[in-house]
Amino acid sequence: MEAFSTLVERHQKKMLNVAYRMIGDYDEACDCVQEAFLSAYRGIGNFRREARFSTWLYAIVVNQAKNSLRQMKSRRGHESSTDMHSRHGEAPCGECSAPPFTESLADQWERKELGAKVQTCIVGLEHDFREVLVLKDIQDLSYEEIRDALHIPVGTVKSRLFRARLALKDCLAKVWGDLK
Amino acid sequence: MTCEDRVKKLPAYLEGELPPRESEEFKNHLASCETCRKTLEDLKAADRLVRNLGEVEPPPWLKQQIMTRVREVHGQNESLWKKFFFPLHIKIPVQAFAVIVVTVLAIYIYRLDEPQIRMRGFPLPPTPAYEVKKEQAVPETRPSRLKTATQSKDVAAPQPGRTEYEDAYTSLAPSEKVEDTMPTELKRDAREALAETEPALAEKFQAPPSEESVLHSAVKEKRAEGSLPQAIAGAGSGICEQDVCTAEEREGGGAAGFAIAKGTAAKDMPPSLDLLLTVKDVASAGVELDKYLATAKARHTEINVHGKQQTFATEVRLHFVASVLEKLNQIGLLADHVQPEFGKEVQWVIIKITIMPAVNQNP
Repeated sequence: MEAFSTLVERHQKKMLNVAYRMIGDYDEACDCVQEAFLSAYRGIGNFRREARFSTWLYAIVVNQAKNSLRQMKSRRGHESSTDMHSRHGEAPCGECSAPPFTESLADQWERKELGAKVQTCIVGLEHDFREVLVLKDIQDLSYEEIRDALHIPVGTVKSRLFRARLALKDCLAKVWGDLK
Repeated sequence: MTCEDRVKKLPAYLEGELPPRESEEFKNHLASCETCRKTLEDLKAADRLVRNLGEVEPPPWLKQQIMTRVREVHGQNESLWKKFFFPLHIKIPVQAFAVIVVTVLAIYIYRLDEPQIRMRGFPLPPTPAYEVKKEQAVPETRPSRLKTATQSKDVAAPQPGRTEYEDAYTSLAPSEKVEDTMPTELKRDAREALAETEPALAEKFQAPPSEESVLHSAVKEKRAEGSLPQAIAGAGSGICEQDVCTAEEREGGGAAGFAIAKGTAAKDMPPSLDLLLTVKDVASAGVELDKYLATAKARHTEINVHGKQQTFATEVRLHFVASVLEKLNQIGLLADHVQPEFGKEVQWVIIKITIMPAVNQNP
């Protein structure tokens, strides 16, 4: 029990960030992480030591995020995904590391707005693309770690990642205009 | 390859995943195509935006809430463990072990006290057949007190538990199987008890006569006919009731020195030897003789004290007779007697020893 508490302490932030980038809703992401840790506790006997614990945990969180999104969609069936994204794309109060001391309020607002738009575009991606993009470009996992977490070949990981980047670029270009 | 096709491969180009030749071709094309160049810049900008996204911090209660729920799950698992496994792994073996220990202890205590229970004449449950066989295989070394107690008048008086035994005996007797499984001593006790209380019932359940009962009845018959020699009457006193044998008989037996009983009554009973021993200290001589008889595996030993005299009536195996005589010579002065002759079929010899204090010749 104490050991598991240590694992929670060590991994909760990474897992929350994955869940948040996948779902786009802070509260839902917190619930998702809780369920993921519970699943991990129940299935800790299935954990094979050849993989890293964090990799195994990423897989659980990604699956749990997929389930959470499905439940959210069923709860808000008639709402359009765009509305949902715009509503939940806003950064929570806990988002973002402490801003630089010299950053002005305008810069802070702009950065927050920018983050919300990027998040909206990420959540708008197809699930297969989103999970690869989050794990590679946000969590900075290697191709091999993503392969282990998602149980797909490295070639598939790369293919999905490149398509996800192009889709994200298109989304951001639509929302933002000029990305330069 | 059109620009549209090249755009699809731009992320791979940026990642350095294109083959060197194709990568070189891309480089040359980008230098001349502004559309593709702009797309490449947008891709780099989008990548920067994504990578620059800040991290969200977990709420302080998240870990606590996770661990609370984990403990709930753990508690459920533990209760399931207790419900299903704990009894199997711990409780049942403990209960089984306790039952075994109690059973073994009860058997041990019963075995420990069984001889005492028998000696006190308390009623015992019928012994299982295999126990009786085992018991019969061992030579009978019944303490002399048992016979004295069972044959004395004190025991003949009603005792607590005796009625229960009679009931048990009455109910068991008709069944030959159960009858056979009863220890010989118990059969005899039960018959005697029945003879006293229910003579008719006792006749109904007459058991095959034992060696001792044959001797007993033969002595009585001969005594009634008046044809029994005094020596035999004296020898028989060891197996009859204490008050049946008169002092004359004993004295007569003692005066005869010894006699070998042969006749109709002695057909199945052991021959007897009547001896007179004079000693300085009757009590110590009696103790010594008693001990020796025990080592000589004598059976049915009965000791009677009459004033300064002691009489021993016992049965010893034929090959022990000589050693008993030798011992008597060591203890005191054995009266003259003729060496008896016994047939080959003789296994046991009844010996009656009267110990008398020596008369001081030199006052």
